[in-house]
Amino acid sequence: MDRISQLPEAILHHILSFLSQNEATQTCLLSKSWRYVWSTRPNIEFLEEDWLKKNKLRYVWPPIRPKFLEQENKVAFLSVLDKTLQGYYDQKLRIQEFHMKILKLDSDTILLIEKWISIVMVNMGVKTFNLYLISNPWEFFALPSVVFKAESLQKLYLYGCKLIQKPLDKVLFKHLQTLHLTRVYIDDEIFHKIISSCPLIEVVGLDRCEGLRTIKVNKDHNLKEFNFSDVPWYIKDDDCSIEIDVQTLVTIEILGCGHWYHPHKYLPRLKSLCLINVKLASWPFDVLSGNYLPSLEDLTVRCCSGLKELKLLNHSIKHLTIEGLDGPDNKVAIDAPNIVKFKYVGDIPPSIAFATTFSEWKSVITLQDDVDFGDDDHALLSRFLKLNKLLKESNIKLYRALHGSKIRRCPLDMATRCGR
Amino acid sequence: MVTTDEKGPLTAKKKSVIIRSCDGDEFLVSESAAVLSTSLKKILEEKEDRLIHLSDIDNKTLAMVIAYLSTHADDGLSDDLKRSFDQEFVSGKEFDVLKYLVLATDTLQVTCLCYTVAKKMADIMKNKLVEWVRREFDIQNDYTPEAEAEIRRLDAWAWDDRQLEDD
Repeated sequence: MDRISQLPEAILHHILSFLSQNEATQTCLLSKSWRYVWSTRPNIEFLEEDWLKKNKLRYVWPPIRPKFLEQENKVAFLSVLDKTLQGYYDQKLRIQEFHMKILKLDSDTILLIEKWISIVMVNMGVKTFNLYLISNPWEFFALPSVVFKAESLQKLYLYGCKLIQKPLDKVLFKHLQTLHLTRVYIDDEIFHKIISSCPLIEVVGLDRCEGLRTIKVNKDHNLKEFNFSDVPWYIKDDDCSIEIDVQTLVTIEILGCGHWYHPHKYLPRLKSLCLINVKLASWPFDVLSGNYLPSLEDLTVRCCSGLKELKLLNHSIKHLTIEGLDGPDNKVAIDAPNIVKFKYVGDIPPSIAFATTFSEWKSVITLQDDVDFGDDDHALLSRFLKLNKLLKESNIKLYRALHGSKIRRCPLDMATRCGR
Repeated sequence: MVTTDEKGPLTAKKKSVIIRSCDGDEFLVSESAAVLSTSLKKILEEKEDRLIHLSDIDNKTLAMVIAYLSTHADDGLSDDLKRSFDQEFVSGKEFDVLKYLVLATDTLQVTCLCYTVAKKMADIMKNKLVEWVRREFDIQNDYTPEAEAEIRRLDAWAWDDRQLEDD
């Protein structure tokens, strides 16, 4: 027997699971004992772009290649997909990981995915389901409600579809740990039905989802990671509010939400907090102190409306980024002795005060607009001089962007320049 | 022969287990390292015996697995360090060594090591022509040329033009 073929099939499957669908298929040619190993491996990966690449076609819009060629490719792709899945179905095999990416939805494709999604999700015991569909929002594919019966599901990733069909009875995502929805149309009711049926959920990611207005996660969950990203609240008509009552969080990242509420101030495990374009009208910043967030290491606050003053007293913080403070009279007071890197980006020089720091740390200050230090702007000028003094004392270099264009690195001595 | 694990002599306080390979050599392993293997954990739970005989794992492979288990049982090491240890652990290893390792981790049920080794083996096969894999892994091609052509025709989608030209 040769060096590899004598390995048990389960191990061969494990090895093949790291290969792409066509790489795995190629192994059938190695020898007779390899003939069908690939067709029973526990994961399926059909990515249309790989298919096009392999056939030297690129997905471009508008399509410049002949239409018939594109159509031929699509038909071939779908027929191989159908044949492969049929093979799994006939042999009653289970699939652990299912990954499908389709670049253009037409009626044939929809029929096929409708047929297989429910089989894969409910009958084949799939653990990781990743469906990526590229289509126009008005043509989004609506997932059949039978998907809510996928009991064995642990990770669910969806891109470009609709979750609007209400679950017939209960949602059965008992084992779901990761839920990632990107450009998915889903309403509050269905989202809450899903979340409340997942006792083990640890990661929730929502990226540019339509239809959500209130996101609530109550304290029965051991959520560790929460990511939310959307267009800024001031562009959207119906902004979204987020309310998470979970103390187990390690990472929070919120981009562009209308309101963020956190009923519990004390988050003992929170390591990274990133708030971008969040409305912070009534958000008291004293919650950032070490008493409430004793493990916080990375903090980013960028372009949050209502943020004028920032007082930070936290011994665990290592990386701090502040961007776009409101108004000319903004104030930042920082007491973070373990800071390693401080970054500030804004239109006007901030008024920053640092309390004690234990060791050396880096700073990057970027002023986006060309700051005009005219004679009439004494307040700004003096503030800049103060900042410059502080930065110089802290051994910091100053970066300056002119007209928001190329950032010109200039460890410039503003004191002499402005004194002109 | 009794070998202590890498952290030097074990203190009396720490519970340890003796594992014997199929060559008859014995290895002293701390219990915290041994229980990272699901099958060893089961054996230890079932009987009080501190000597475990593994009839299908040889000296060399067992020593490697134990080095892995001891490193991962060390609470003093950060996850990053453990991850880079994993990388180091499989890099530059002969295919045969990896094969025995993956078999051993399958027997001992060490999921994370099994993952690392299987991934390494897949990386070796990645982007390689069928002929290369046959040569490298010493696989005897028992297809007739006609059968081979037939398979290529059946699953034509899996082979790209470059490979067809190479044949």
